[in-house]
Amino acid sequence: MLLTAERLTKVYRVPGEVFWQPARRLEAVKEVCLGIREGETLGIVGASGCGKTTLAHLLCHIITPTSGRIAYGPAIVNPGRDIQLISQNPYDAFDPLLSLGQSLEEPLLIHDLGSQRDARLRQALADVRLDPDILARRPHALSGGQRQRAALARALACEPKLLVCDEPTSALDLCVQAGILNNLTELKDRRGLALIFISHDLDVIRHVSDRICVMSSGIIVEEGRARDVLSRPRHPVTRALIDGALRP
Amino acid sequence: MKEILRVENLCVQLPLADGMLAVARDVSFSLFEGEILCCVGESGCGKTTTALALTGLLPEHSHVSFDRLVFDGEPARDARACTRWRGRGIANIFQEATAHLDPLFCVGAEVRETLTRTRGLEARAARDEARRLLERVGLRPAEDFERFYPHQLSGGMNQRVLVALALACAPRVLIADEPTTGLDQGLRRETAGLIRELAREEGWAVLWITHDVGLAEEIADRAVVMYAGRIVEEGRAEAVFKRPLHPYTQALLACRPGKESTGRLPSIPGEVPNFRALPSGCAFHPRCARRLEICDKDIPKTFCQPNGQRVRCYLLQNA
Repeated sequence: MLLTAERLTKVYRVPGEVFWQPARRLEAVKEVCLGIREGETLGIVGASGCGKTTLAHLLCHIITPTSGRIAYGPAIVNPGRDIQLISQNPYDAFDPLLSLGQSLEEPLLIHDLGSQRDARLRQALADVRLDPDILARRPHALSGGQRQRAALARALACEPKLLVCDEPTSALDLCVQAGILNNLTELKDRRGLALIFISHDLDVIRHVSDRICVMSSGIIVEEGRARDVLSRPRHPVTRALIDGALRP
Repeated sequence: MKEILRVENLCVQLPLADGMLAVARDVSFSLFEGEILCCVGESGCGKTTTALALTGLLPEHSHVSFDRLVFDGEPARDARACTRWRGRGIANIFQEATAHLDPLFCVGAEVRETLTRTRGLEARAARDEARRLLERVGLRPAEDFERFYPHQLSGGMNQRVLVALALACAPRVLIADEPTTGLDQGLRRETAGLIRELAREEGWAVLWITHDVGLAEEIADRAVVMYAGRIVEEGRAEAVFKRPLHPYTQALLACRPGKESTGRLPSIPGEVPNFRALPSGCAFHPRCARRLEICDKDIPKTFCQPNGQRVRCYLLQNA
């Protein structure tokens, strides 16, 4: 196992509507257990607000769990470096005042990899098929697809073992989406990368995933091999998701 | 079926710091009563510009020209006519409903204001009508919902409020610019269903702009596909989506991951062209797998196919 999450729980406190009302407890992620093997793609689906993004942030150590723990396999030495996140909106992923070169080298400097900066950036950009010239540019000069590729390159430069993709193609056009998905599958095969792929688009999930977890109100309600879950759903939530999907 | 809006050879130029930029060229289509026309294409292909031109909402100093523009039997003499039709004649709803509602007014007040402005209703009549409209779009009970502010409602509910505002104008044409983008799949389906139902009941002619091909396939009666400012294919929705004829439409539809797809997805080589440096001839020819010699020389005309599909491609010249 590359990573095992044991009973991960995240509780947020939501202030009341009016100041004298007590704060409510919102359990965004409830006792989630999941594991991911090396080189595997785990798809996570669910309607908006079911806790997918919270779970992604927990797995990437962006937020700390209220209870539960994450155990790492021997492949992950430094979780901050070996697990990387790609977020949904490529427009918010970069500091508009920094050039892409500055944005892309930052994680390398943080993890003391500055000496390998040039080699790693060149390799990462080649992997996502971006021209090294873009390093001198600022994010506003790039299209959405290029920015998402740049975000992918930034993550890859750290040579992660696990890549958490939170709706990486939801904001992109169809043929740009196809390009990014191809890129991810290719990298997975070549680098033996494990992926956690979060999406509400069942066709995308079906295409990329080996295994699928279906989430609803912070709980994983169904888990299994991608084809089994999507062709013979057992839980009503999964059935509703499949029936509610736009294309029959 | 009655033709409500007819557009012939609409061209739009937008003012930029370094001069005018032609963003939509030779756009022609018709909208019919009770029918949904979906306009699909990638970001930056001129879909939204076309929609804004039809409602007179383009930035100042934009240049709009056309051969013919007829709304409900009334021909327009110049582009300013669109400003006159906006609201009562042509209503629109947009992406990100929350951003289009005034955060300082509760949604009931917003609907009431539209009713008094467009239909001249008295306060009491406007209140009752506003409640009826909110119920109509599924915000029940309206007595509770009318007091909510946009930030207290979800994105899907706010989109319903925008639909109620459009209803309040009692328009003939509804222009929906990516109304379901940013909603999740369940809500998307609900909102789309609501608009389709109202279009049938009210006889709206709907121009639905989207880059979501799956959604378009489900709701459209007819479809147009845009690429680099031009319409490249037009026809009945089932024909365009099931048997596309233009190489661009074919390539775009092939990019979708499907039930059986594994491994590599086909994708279109190259990038969407920049409007400042459009390729000569057919704008799609550098990325087209089946280009002919003539393709980089002349811009193809629209060729009509036996089944009524209209395609802007030399491959179908003799079909």
